[in-house]
Amino acid sequence: MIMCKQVAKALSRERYYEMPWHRRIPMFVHIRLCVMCGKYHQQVVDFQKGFRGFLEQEGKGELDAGMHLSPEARKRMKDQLETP
Amino acid sequence: MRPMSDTPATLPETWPDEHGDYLFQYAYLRLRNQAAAEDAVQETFLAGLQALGRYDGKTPVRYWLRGILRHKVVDHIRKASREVAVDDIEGGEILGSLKFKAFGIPSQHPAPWKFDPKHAYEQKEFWEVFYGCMAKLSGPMAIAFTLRELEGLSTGEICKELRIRPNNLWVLLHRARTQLKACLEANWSRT
Repeated sequence: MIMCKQVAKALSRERYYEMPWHRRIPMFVHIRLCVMCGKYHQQVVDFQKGFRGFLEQEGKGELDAGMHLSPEARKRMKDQLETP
Repeated sequence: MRPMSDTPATLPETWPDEHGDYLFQYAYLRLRNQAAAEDAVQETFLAGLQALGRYDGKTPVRYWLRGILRHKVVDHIRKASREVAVDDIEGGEILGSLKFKAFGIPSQHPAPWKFDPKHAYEQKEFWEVFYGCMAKLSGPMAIAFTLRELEGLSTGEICKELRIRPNNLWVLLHRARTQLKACLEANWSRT
């Protein structure tokens, strides 16, 4: 049986769903039995899923956070790219 | 933000209008600095122009440029992290606590979410709030969080870049998560 400290360290170092099964199974058993680790684990995993979802949205270009190049920067870039 | 178009990649002068905002948004979140993000995008366009002969057209030009930008961004973060003192991470209050020593977790009762994350992740608007909260993180905490969660660097790589120990990284990531959670709860619950 792995200890709480090992669970916390593993979760801080790796993404739970990317761990190999032989490491994920003892983690799974522990967090099912331990209330404290269960809560902590759930929040870390929620964040990990959140980042995965965010990166998917960002990758697809479906995220519009209202960030735009300044007109000066855009013009500067265009001028540079148009220069033969 | 403009969607991708069918404009040929061989028209670099169209890149700032076609892909400028997309790339700027990507760079700004990771660098959290308008001028640095614009510089990174500009350098990306110039590098793309120089490498255009090697572009095989298999991937859309936007993603090809984003690949170039990613390297620029990580290089910039690496340089910036050398200039930032990260040895003032006061992890004692967490790592030295009896709870951590005994159980390895920062708190016996992590506060529950004030909203349902699973439901929120299905809402398009949530990701805009998420972006805003991520962009508000600052200092070594933001650098560590960006390298870890957005760029996917390993613990070893981040510790080497920031010259910190794994326990310090754990503290930085823990603080970033706590701050991000508070920001999301304050801003998403209100919307």
